[in-house]
Amino acid sequence: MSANSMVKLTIDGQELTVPKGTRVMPAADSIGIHIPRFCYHGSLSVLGACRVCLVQAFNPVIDRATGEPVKDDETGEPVYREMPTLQTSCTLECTEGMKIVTDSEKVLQGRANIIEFILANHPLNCPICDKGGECELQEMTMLCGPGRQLFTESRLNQDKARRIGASIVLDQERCIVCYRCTRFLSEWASEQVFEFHERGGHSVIEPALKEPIGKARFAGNTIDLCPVGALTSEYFRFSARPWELADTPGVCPHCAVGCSLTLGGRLGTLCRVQPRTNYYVNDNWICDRGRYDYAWVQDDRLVAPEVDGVRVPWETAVERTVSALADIESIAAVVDPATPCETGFLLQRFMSDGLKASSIYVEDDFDLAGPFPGTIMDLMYSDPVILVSANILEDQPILWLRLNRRALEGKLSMVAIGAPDWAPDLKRLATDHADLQPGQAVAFLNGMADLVASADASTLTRVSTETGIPAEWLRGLVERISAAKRPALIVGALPTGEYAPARSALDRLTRSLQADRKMPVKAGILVGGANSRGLRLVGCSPRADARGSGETRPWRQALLAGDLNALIVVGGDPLCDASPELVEAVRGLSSLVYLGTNRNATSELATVKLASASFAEEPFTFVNFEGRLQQSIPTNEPIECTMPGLRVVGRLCAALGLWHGELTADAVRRSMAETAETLRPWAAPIGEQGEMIAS
Amino acid sequence: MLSDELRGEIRALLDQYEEPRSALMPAFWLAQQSDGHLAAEAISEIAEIVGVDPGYASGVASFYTMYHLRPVGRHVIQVCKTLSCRMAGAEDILEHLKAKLGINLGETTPDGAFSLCTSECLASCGTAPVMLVDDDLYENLTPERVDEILAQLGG
Repeated sequence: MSANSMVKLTIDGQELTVPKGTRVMPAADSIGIHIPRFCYHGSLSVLGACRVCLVQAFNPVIDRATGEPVKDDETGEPVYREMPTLQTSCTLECTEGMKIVTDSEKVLQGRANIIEFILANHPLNCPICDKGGECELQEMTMLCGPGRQLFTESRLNQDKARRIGASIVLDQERCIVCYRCTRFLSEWASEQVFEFHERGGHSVIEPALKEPIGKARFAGNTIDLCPVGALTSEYFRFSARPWELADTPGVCPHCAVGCSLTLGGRLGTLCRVQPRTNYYVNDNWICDRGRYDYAWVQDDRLVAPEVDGVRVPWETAVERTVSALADIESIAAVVDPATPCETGFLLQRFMSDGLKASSIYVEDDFDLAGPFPGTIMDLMYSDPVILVSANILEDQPILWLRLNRRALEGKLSMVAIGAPDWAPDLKRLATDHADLQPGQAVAFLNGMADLVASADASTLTRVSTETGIPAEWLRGLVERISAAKRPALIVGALPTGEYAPARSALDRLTRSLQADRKMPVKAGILVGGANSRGLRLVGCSPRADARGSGETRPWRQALLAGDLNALIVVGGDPLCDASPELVEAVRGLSSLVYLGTNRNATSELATVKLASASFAEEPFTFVNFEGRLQQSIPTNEPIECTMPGLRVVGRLCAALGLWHGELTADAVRRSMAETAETLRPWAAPIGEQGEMIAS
Repeated sequence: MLSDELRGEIRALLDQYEEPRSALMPAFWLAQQSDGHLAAEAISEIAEIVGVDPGYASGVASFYTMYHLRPVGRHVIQVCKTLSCRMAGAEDILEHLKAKLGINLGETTPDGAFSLCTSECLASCGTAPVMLVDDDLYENLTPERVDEILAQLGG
């Protein structure tokens, strides 16, 4: 950055240099000076609504004739003039030579007055408020409030404890009108869940009428954003005080984005899941699925190992598993894509070194689709981003949220292309969209590759006929892509047989797009679950001889054909909705071993049930779709007689002499690092934002 | 339900603004002039025509005090309650109106003729006290003058 795009100023006597346009609040943050705030939030637009971030601001006096700073005649020091009133530091732009004071008597008095004013209508019944202990207003009142109140009038009475949908409880009296919730909803989520009504002291948030919150995907974030107890979580409310929670850093198991979480557990119960700031992945947000879908951690759990429906000690369960599998040929392991790397690594060792003729299948299309060749940041700084049958709003919601934010800022356009009845919300919210004839994704990709090379009339007509997309629209898209510095393309899940042709079409398209562009073009297929990529890195792939004819889940065919003798299922519920023939085939197996957390259709069919700890109870690592390695630290102990997955599989390994010594996450990670060059990162410390280990 | 004619007038408004949502307020005004007040259904229908969320539209409608969100009388009397008028006897005028009409602030006479409310400064301090009846300003009020005005309006 050139020198004249920077400005130098002093805050509380500390000199600093910041880019022009920086506001005083983030500048102060950058040198560790914390100015109180309610409405300001680094990921939202600047508003200046709450007025609590007052500071004194002094500017150097400039001689109008010369444009030079005026110097004091005697001392030769520059002369300063204070701005006439206290200034809100969140809106005030840093200017050259500015002096800011954040801790003078005048500032403290101003701040206290504002807090007194905010409290004029705010109920003072913190002991019965669920926000107590993490309420920014409570903290600021204790830290810099006036400690007394001049208002003797009665407070305004508003609606209390009103349910907004199933998940949010609104208390209008507590709202201090900071607009964080409505700003988030309009600047990021494009969801109108709340609107402000009335004015002045009577301002209240009201639920919007049109979109019932049931459809909202991101509204839960407003609970974290609320600086007071106006918005609280129906699920967390009154279940614990925040200081009682053992907060640990976690990783979300729900999709391939792998949002950073804070897991709040207490006395063996997972009380809440919140986002943890990670600007590379999820900014300050998570989707409502990630936030609320954790009841299974408590409900319907397998709490102890069982053999033939009877609870047994772990020794018996391990012995029985090993003896049931050891001398059998043709064993398949079916692994859920949200299975941790450590468990996957040990499973791979157990299967390939310990058992005869076995193969591992992960329940996703990753082997067919290949890894996606870009990061979330790559996509955010691409334009346009073309989504071909990729409903990222449902499948990778936070990726959509981050791209939507860029789109709302006008820095990116999202173009959604898919079958007419596919993803109506994604299409409605996209910058542009087109209806593709069903089953024509590959034709579209091939057509785009042709058109980027040459958009002549005959090619346009042909591609338009094949895909059902109007020729004019296609021409517009090709022109936009050709003019773009950095286009990106995401293809979603496809029918099994279409991955191979889609990949070769994508290769062609990428090559012609890349042509003379400096920035690498990001185009690929984005499928898989939370750890699809990590499981491949640790070796959980079908053996070459078992890969079959390109079918995604050949274990089902093998099972139906009678080619399997035993099945190990790790996580998930692959036999949910299984056909009667498949269930019959499963019953014919010599054994079905289930390693998982919950009772479900699969566990009910299992002869051996190995009860494992949930994602909140075991240490683990995931690798997200970008190739980012992240670790999760348990907030609770494994419930009852459950064990972390890595300990269970580790004991299976130990029984066959494939593992020696202690079975901790660290020991397994060290062993991983010793096994292969690509697994070396597991032995190194993993930072809070994760480590990029593959690209 | 908005009449077809009103819908046409509201659609015509959309072209006058760079952003269609700017037409919300004049559209509300048209609907209020036609119905006497701005009903929740009217707000939703206008929101649909203008292309904004109904929640957003009702937020706008509730922000401005001159939209009547509940039914009002044929005439709305707004007595200025700001400093100059108060010093010149606005409170006496208000009490007189209450007694004469037999209603309190925010209420409507049983025959539906008058609604009574107060307003902030009407920008006519030199002729205080003043009141606004519908769109007309009445100045230098005395209780007798108020009686004359009410009689003229058919009260």
